[in-house]
Order: sequence, then structure tokens, then C-alpha cells
Amino acid sequence: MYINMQEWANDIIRSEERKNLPVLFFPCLKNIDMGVIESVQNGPEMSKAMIEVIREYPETIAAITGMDLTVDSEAFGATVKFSKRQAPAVKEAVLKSAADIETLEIPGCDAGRQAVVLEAVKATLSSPEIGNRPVFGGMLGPFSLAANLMEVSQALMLTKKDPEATCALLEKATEFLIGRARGFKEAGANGVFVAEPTAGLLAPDDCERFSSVYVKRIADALQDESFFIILHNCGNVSKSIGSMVGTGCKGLHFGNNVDMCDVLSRVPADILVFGNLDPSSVFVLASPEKVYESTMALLKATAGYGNFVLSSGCDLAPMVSNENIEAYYRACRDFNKENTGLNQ
Amino acid sequence: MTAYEKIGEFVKKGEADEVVNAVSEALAEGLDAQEILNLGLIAPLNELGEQFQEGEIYVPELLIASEAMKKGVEKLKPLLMKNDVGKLGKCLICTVEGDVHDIGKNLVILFLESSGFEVVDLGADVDTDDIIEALEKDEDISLLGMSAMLTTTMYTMQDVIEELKDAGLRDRVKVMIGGAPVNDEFAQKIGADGYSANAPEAVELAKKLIAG
Repeated sequence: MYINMQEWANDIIRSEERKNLPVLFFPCLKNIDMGVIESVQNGPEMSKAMIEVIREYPETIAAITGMDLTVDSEAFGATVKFSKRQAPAVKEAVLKSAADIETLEIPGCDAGRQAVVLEAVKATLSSPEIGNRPVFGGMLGPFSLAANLMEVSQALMLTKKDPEATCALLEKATEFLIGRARGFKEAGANGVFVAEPTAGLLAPDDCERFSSVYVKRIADALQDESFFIILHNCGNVSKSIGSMVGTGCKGLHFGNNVDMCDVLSRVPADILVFGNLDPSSVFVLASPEKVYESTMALLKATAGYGNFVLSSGCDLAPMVSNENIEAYYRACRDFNKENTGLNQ
Repeated sequence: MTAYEKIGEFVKKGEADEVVNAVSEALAEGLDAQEILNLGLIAPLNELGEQFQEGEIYVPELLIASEAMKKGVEKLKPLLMKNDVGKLGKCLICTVEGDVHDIGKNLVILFLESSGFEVVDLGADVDTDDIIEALEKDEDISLLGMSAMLTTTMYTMQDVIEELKDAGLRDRVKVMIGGAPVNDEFAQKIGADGYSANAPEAVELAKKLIAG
């Protein structure tokens, strides 16, 4: 379904109420008695789970495919471990050393489970329950993919030991990801959620050199009024905000390692800023009362920023309780009741 | 610049070959192996650990320095007094089942080893049964360190603690935990003896727990 995504963003910025988009795929599986494995290995099942999020929590402003961050690595040949209780994880890296980078082949858009996710996007777009909400595909960012292909510690050290080899790997990762994002666009998705958490472990200069430069290429290649890119980095990126803005992505999604008001004060007002309730200490460990309190505190602190969208600081784990999710939404509803005319 | 400072500079730059060469030179000059370890290898890594906590350096810098330091320790190991290795105690360290993340675990191991602990590294994604078996086999191990990077695997640490109780090991083995999704409150909730946020803190916690 065509949506003018620039207007979608402008509507959010002008809205009199605070919008929200938690990354909620896995916690909602229990509501439809679906296991993690079928939700990431079967397109129609993934779509059912995406729709369940919207059905259960209609205030959610978009549907996002399952945050399975192994699909990209698996396409390159990485071994993936599937588990009933948790999101898939890369079990064995593809590259044994930097010497393997040169011969690494860039997979096509039919490799691995990419088709499963595209099928989920198409099925979700055709569902009446989605209404006029956009549908986002989820994929890794260039540095996070490179790290998964190589083994995270080795990839991080390679940035220091052999920056040129790191860049050679990033070239290949980026070419693949541009193809993957194009696949989402051709399937009708309204944008992509680019998860780049591993770049959060880099120094600001290295974040620019080994992540933002490549993310910008993806944005330059595909982002337009019909296709919106949200860049997620949940590291302590307070010194890399300018670099993330420089990617040109129209949405930036932050984790709980940053101060949301500090971020908002440094991001242009026409870029949507999502974040950043702690997925662990708030959503998993806290009581519903504490979730409500934390959510309300964040909403109040950020009330002056029209471009803020309430979200979890990362994707939420399957065991997050319905009571805590409901407390999060209740806080947002109560805030909106009290603050009608937020941007007036 | 002293020989120790020279080694330390190479450690900080992550130049492993140069660390080994400088350690060899220091030994050839007749310097004591234990002094080289303490002043040339451990001290600069601790300094980096502090800079990391202050947000002045980042994970890649810490990783390459740790790797370089490890090469230096390997060079010294045959010369170090046998009773000094592991003098502070013996620990078992792993990332729990279902979790393949090992950066934090590996850093903790390096810091523990360099501080005088003997460490048995079971690796990542380790079955609970394997942890119990390893502890049953080696009665010298008095500390278990578990890491989890995922909100989905953090509760596995609670399962391990329950299994320790069932196996009659809990009184012998202190338990410390770490990892991005956990905190002190969680450690108390699952019955662990302590939580540390990073590798330098883990060393202090390990010393405290071993001392009882």
C-alpha cells in the first residue's frame, strides 16, 4: 500500500498526541500460542504475529517484521541456532579470518530466509487489520552484519588492526543490504528498520567510518517519499548523534544508554526520534507500576519535542509480560489525555 | 622510559608482537617476571579499564590491548612462580546456554587471570549440566561467573543456581553474574552472590566473594 512517508512523519510531528512504536513482535507470540521458531521460519506465521501486535495494541503506529537479526548473516552462510524460547542467534561465523573477506560471495535476495520475511510483509500489507499503518522490514546495519559474519570480537579488533580489510567487508555487507532493502521496497514495504547495535561499541570516529558512511549509502539508494528508513543504534552513542543524523535516515531509534532529551536537543526537528525505555530493567524486570512510572517520566521529560516517538530501547524479549506492556500503553494513553494539544 | 613503561605502551597500542619482544628484552636485562607482569602488563590494562569506564576509550581498543597483554602473559607464564598462578582462587567462567555472546566474558577472564586468579573457561552457550559437571569434577573451583547478553537468556542463570543447590554445590561455590540486561537487583532476585557491570569491577567482586 502506498503511503507518503514524509507526510506520515509530518503528521506524527504535528500530532496533538504522543505516538508510540515499541518493538513488540516476540512478546505478543504467546497471545496467539505461537512459538518463536515458526514465527521466524514461516512467512504467513510471521505475518500473523505482526498483525497480532496491531490487533492487541491498536495505538501502535506501524507493523514491523520479526526482529530476527540472523536472516542477513544466514544468507551469507552463517549457522543459526533456533530456540523455542528466544530469538535466533548466529552460532558460527562465516569468516574465519580477514583473509576470507576477499573470496566472500555476496548472496542474492533468494538466499536463506529472506523470502520468508518478504512473504510476511506482503501478507501483512494485504491484511485489513493493518489499516493505513506502514509496514517496516527489519534488517541489520552494515557494521552489525560484518561483525556477525566475522565474530563480533574479531570484527571489532579488525577495525584497529586492518581498517582497509574492515572496509572491504563493509562494502560487501552494504551491497547485500541495499539489495535486501530493495527487496522490501519492491514487496511493498513502506520502509526498513536498520538494526546497527554493534556500531554502538565503536568510538565516534570509527562509528562514522565503519557504520554511518555505509548506512548513508543505503539511505541514498532507497529512501524517498514512499520509503522511510529508521536507523537503530542502542549503544552509548551520545558522541555519535551527529554521525547518525548525517546518514540521512529520516528516523533514528535509540537505546537506554542515552539521555533522550539530550538526543532530541541535538537532532533536527524534522527527523523522527524513537526511544528508549530499557528493554531489560523496565520491561522484563520491573513491576507494571514501575513500567507505568518510567514510561510516564519519559513522556513528561520529552513533552516539548514534537518529533519524539515513544518506544522500547531495543526489541523486546518473548518473556515480557502482558501486564508490563499494558502498563506502557496505559501510561501513554493517560499522558495523551492529560496533554491534549501537545504541540499547540 | 623504563622497560615496564615500554611494555605498557605496546599493550595500550595493542601491538602484540612488540609486547612479546619488549618482555623478552626485559627478561634479558634480568628484570623479575612477576614485576614485569604487575608493572608492564597488568597496570596498563587496569589503566585502560578505568579509561573504558570513563568512556574515554571503546571496546575495540580494550580488546586489542587485552589480546596483546595476553601474549605477554603467555611469554612470562613458564617463569612465574607456580604457586603465584591462581593464588587468589580458581574460577569457572561461561556464557549460559542459548547465548553465544562472549566479549564481556573474555574480558572478565583476562582481567581475572591478570589479577592472579586461575580461570577455567567453558566458553559460550554452555549447557547447565556441563557447568555442574565441571564444578563437580574440580573441587578447587570456588567461584562461578556467568554472563548473559540477552534478556531471553538471563533467567537461565537462575536455573543454574537452582541446579547448584540440587547438586549440593551452592555452599562451596560463590556465584557472580554480568551482562548487558542484568543488574544488582536481578542478581539478588535470582540468588546470585554479586553482580559486576564490567571486567575491572568483576575482579574486585571476585576478590570480595573469595575472601568470604
